[in-house]
Amino acid sequence: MGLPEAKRLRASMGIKQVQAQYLPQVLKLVLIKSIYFIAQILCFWLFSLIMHQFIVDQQGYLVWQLNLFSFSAIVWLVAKHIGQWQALRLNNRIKHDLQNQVNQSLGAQQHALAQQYSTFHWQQVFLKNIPALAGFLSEYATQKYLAALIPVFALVIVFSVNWLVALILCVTLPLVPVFMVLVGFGAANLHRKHLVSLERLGGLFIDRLKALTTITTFNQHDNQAALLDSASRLVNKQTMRVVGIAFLSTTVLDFFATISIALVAVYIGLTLLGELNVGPVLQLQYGLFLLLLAPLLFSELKQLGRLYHQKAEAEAAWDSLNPIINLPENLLATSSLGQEFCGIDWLNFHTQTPEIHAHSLHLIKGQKINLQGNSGAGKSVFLRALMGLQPASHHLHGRCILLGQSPVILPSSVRENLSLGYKVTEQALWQALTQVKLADVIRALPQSLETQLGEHPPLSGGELQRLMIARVLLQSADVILLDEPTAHLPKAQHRELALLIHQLMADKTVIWASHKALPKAWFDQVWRINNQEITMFHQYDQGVKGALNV
Amino acid sequence: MSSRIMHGPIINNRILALILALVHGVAGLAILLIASWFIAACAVASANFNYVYPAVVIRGLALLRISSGYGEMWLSHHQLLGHLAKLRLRLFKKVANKLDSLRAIESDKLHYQSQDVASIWAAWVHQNASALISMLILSVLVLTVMPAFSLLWLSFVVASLTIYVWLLLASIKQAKLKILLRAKLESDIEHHIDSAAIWHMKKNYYAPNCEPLYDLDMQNKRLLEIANSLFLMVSLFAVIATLNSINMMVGHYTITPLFLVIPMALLAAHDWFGRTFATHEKLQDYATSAANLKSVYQPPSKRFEAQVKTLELVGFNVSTAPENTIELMINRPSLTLFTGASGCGKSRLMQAIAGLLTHTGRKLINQSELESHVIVNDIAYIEQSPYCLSGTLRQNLLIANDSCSDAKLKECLANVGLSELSELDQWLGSGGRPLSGGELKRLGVARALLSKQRVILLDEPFEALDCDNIDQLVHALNILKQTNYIIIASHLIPETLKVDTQISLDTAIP
Repeated sequence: MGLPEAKRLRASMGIKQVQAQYLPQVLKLVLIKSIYFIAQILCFWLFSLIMHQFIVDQQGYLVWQLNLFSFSAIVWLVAKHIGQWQALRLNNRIKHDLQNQVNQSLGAQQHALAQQYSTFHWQQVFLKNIPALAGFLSEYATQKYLAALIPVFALVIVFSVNWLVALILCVTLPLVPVFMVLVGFGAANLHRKHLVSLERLGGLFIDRLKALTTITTFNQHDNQAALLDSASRLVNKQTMRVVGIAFLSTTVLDFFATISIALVAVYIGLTLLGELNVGPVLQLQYGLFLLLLAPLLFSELKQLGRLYHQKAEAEAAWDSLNPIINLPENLLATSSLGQEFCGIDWLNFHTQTPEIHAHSLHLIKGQKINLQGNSGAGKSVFLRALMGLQPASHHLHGRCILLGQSPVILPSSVRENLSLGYKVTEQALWQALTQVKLADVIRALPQSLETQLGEHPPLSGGELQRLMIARVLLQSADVILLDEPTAHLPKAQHRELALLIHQLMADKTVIWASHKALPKAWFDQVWRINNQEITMFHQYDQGVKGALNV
Repeated sequence: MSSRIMHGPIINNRILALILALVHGVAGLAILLIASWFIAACAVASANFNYVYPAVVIRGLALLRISSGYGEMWLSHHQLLGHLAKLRLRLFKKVANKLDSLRAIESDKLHYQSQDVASIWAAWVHQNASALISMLILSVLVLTVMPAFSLLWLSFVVASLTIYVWLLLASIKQAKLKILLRAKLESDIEHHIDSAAIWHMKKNYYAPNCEPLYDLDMQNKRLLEIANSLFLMVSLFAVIATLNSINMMVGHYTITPLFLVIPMALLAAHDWFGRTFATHEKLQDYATSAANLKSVYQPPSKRFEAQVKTLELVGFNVSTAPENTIELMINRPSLTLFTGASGCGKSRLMQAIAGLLTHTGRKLINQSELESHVIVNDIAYIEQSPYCLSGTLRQNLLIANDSCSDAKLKECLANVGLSELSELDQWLGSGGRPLSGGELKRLGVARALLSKQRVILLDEPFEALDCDNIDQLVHALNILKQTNYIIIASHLIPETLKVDTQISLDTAIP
């Protein structure tokens, strides 16, 4: 739950910047809630007045008094309702904005970003982190202002009624934050002392669930259950020690709120009796009003305490949202659709994190490039940079397609997997399938093109990879980037699939990354990535290559 | 038997925490009402009014409220943690030998859902119980001491309870909707992220839209807001009605300080009763989570205890791929190699052999046929990406065989080329030093070498390793195969590996 100190600090700084964006709405909320507060005080005043007349004077109320009471009750009700309604709208707007930002980033970086995190992480981003940050920005931010404003305001009113009661409250009120901070430090210190063991042992349950296969195959379930049991006992003991102190801060607030009311009540009572003669003269009307007013001094602070958990949640949420939302500037602006590809003639190409540099890169439309390099040299990064999905000095224009190592299957039919939302004729579909030698396999499936490809598609790994090639063929692309499309295939299949790709993509510009051997004659150039530097080698001149192809 | 004994203190703590919560809630309301009565009584007091007792009672109540508040928080947290630990232990025991019921994402869910279930007492029961008890006590007070206001008060109670029950029912209905919507969004996001590599090829870039869930959340909060406003309206209206009826009594009866109690209780009603409305959200979470946790409870699988002498597979495969079957007979120490492209189902086939997944065809061990889904103790399955436990290096190795000496562990680490990890007390995995892909592979093989099992299944052990490491592993495996039955699934075939039987799992290419 808690982030490390440095991270926490950075997160709260980041949140402050976002907060500034919504400040006008938050201030509007504070204003509406202040109106509701004033109406409430007016209600209390009239109530005290009427009760005084009943009990002390044994007289009925005047009509205007009840009318004014009803009126302020309505204002109280309406202002409260509008305030909450507006807060909800703000909350929803922030969620909407944040979702748009995340989706924008995903659209700009696509799988370069998506693959950085687990699926679970992404689900958390959308379903938990965004709502958590929105809750903080709309509720906690408003409450912070109210918690500072309302007690002062209430105190002024109390002061105008009875300076001695105001003095009592004045003494207790500032003590609340002081004690809360003191106690908070104590708890934080204790927490820090046990932080490592709390984190390690606290995560054991989820860790051992993930290790279930290992535990099962070695028949260690009972041992691990015993370990889990003793670990949770230890964690619980340490946690109780921390929260035992942390709870004191809530109790401090409760203590002052309760004691000041009790003190005020006893003081007012005794003054009314004439037993105490300190301070101004009191009547029941004022006494009752003060009694009703005193809790308001603490209620907004209490509400802030109730919302306090939002802060830690928002910091954690910011920590995972920030790297997604705040992208390098040059990524968001890259849209090159509609432009035509007419080769590469780049000088001084470079990418950031990880750094790859090329003194010059030249490529004529229709050429075939073999991209080489050890695993980890940055072939995939380079290809993604060419696509414009990674921050880099240059990227390709025109329609480019990147085909990766593992087949990507959508949970829908073969047809939808091939067409990807485009209108493709039946004839074109079958032609592409025939080209990749899959037509017979698909025809043999129970529902042919309409067969659903779910989590375990009825096709082998090699067949799925050909389906991916058929998909690429159906897209009228200028440049095709291949990122080890045969990496997971055994030798024989690799050869066959590579040949198929070579034949089918003869008229396209192709950049093909592979660390498995490919015939040299297929390529015009070799680009080799070594020590973060790309070097170009010209294989053959055009004449020789043309001769070989005939 | 032992679980019954453990139940005792938790239930006692739970009841004690509940009692403290009730004391806390009722004392808070009592202070307000007694204090207002007290000052009114003081204002109209005759000379013989004994002010000492009420003043003492007020201060006593204040202290009672503070101490019971702290006690409740402490005790209910204590009870929550105890409950959570027990719940998780029970869940962990329930999933023993139940692999296919749990995916990585599910385990994260179990983590926070068990929290929702364990915290229901502190988050919902306490508040609601004390609000309802306060309502009951006040009702008894009104009916016995101030019967003139019975009708008015009872109308207020009926109206409040109607709003309360309406919100409760609406919340439960919304919770069901939310489960459906959430599950749909979770799978949408999963599919969307999994297909990230082809977004650039799609005609329309569609992003997962969580707006329906956000809207539902807003609807829930609106419901809550409507309930709050309605309740405030009811209580303010009741205050006006009470003032009105007192007004009519003026002149006929003496208006005593006791008359102050009802309107004061009504004026503060949004504080002592209205607060429960917001807690219904926790009930929603509880309902959702409890239902999901229940679905985890399934009978555990059986285990086959005897030592494996012969292993025979006839027309065998994992039940999700029945069309592509294999035949295999192993009756002496040897090394069998499954080859085939990734995605052809090697891993699932291996898991079916170990009994971790159901199979089609026949599996005979020591000449007797084994049912589907019986886990064989004498078979160790090493995953493609072995899991590194959050624990010490020693714990990570001893999981394969807990009777090994430290010297044996270190020797084994050296054999698989992991001598850089020699500090056996070093914490690995989550909360410690993370292992790289290659290190994980070697950790898996180290576990295989240490294990007492005769049959060892290794899933893609050579992937992501450099040549030196592969040679070292092959050497270790070539020795191990003299005593054990080894089955390796791999698309890389090191030349020095001494393979006895090779089976290709690819039927796609003739």
